[in-house]
Amino acid sequence: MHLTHALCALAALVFADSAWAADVTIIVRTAAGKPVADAVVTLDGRAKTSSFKPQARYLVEQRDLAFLPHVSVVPTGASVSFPNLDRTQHHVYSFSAAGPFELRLFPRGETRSVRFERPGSIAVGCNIHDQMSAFIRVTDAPFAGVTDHEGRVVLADVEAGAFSLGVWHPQQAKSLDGLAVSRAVQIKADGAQTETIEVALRRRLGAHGHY
Amino acid sequence: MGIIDMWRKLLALGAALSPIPALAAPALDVSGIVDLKGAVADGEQSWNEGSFGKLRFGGDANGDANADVTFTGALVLKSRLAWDVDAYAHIEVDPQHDAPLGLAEGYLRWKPMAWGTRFQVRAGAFYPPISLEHDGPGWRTTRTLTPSAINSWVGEEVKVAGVEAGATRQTMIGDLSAGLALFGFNDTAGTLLTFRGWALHDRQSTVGGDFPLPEFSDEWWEMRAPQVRRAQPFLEVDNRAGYYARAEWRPDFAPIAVDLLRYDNNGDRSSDREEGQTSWDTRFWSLGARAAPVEGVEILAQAMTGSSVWIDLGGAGPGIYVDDIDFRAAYVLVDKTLGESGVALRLDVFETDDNQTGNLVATPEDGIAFTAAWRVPVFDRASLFIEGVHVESERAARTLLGDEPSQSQTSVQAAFRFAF
Repeated sequence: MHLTHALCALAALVFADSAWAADVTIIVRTAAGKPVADAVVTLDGRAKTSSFKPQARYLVEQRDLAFLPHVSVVPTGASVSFPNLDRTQHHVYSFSAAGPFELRLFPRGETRSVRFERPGSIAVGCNIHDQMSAFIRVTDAPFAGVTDHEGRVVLADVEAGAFSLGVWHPQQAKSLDGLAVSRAVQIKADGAQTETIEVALRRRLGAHGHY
Repeated sequence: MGIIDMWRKLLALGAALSPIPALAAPALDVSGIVDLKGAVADGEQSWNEGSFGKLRFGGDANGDANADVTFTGALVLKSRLAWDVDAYAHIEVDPQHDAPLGLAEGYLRWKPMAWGTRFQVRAGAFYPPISLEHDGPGWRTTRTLTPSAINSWVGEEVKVAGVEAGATRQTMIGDLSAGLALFGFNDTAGTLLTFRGWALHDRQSTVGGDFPLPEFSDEWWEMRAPQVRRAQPFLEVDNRAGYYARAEWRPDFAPIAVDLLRYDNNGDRSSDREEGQTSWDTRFWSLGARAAPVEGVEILAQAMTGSSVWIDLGGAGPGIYVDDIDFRAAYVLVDKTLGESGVALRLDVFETDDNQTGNLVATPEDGIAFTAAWRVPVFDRASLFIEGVHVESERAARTLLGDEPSQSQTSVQAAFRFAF
């Protein structure tokens, strides 16, 4: 009997997973219809599952005097590594309230890691190379990703149910502490689903290159 | 290699003297830039030839169009002495200087961070943070070959030696920066601007280097004694410190940046202690703005207004001569990137007023310049620039050289820029 119960439970779980999980495509664009790359998209809600694990490996490389990727999203509690692939040294830092840190000079081939324990937005810079900039969005959401050049991201295996769809972008018109936009979305059980969401962006200037 | 060896020794000394634990072996990072240039220009001979031509290149002695080929270069040496201390040197290569290799900038920089604020302290010889156009390696312009009138003057006469301290902080209203510098070695600022006037060119002053002044008659120069016929911009004459103060605001709500700088070299206007060069009391306000209204378009604008005064109390000359000018200039530059290439258009206006009536120098002038430049990368680390500059100006002092007060000239320049 125990075995039968266990098999039934397993079957129910497999059935539930296959029937109730969907790949959700999110398209982020401006009001003018232009695709928005580097937007962090989150689906937040009372999910029983999550495709977003703090144990995964998260990297922000320093390559050709730039941070790659420019925008990342990581789950709260994740550790992010900052490998230096440049010939020169870097001094990576953030003053952001959600996770200030400072990684003093480290040379090519070495890496340093930072664990982000609180959700929020981390603006990352290099104290030596003012033009280098990166953003890390730390989130409690169970499903998250970053849009590509077409403004598109696919969040895999999202269970059916009610979620809050949120978008964050380093050039969002609103404060970087919160989301650019969010709205309720119902993820259906019947296969792939596409949602489109608009954001208002505002560009900001970087520091002057010489002084 | 001699310069690099000297630099290594200097770095070792700097590391030894640094109160902060130094890295095991300071690495020397060497980079540079070479510009090979060909130009065709008409109108007056260039100010480089002792005339009043406003550009680096000009017509020949008969006023006919003239072709010229030259090169300039910059060698940039950087080294990190500690996690927040680095050393920087920019050696300018300019065959038109008596010494073709000269130090354009050289300083130690301390960049600590604390309390959510980034600090920067520089000590050495450097350009005050005025030019918005010079954001390339070796203090090079990146959108045009020829800088605006304002920044041409900064490059030739506004280099200081001193200590500059500043801080940048992110605030509720955007990024705010403020800085203050105390300096010397800029007492002669105003000499070129008074005797020659504004110009548009990419020559840079070097430590110990000088620039030609107009070739007035021998009698005329004797009356201006002790000033000799060359201007030496990087010089301490009166042993008094000057200052500049600067603030910059990069608001969060729009892609713009605004900066304001006040400069006062606190020059002893009656001092002529240095052989051949005199101390000018030069002050100015400089206002700058950058904007990126749409993707791929950048607008730079700067304005400057100031004055420069020198008094000869008769110690060396036959009488009291006073040079007292007000100067003003402004430009707007619009830059558009077109894929890998880019175009820039700039409008310059400039003028000087002579506050002394009957002055022999006859310094008043006004002028306008149009610049159009196109740049395209040709292969990795190399780009091609093609630029046209047209300038029209009126300056009464031209009559002292037998020329008409009003002149116009055009220069078309092509440059192959290679970075290493």
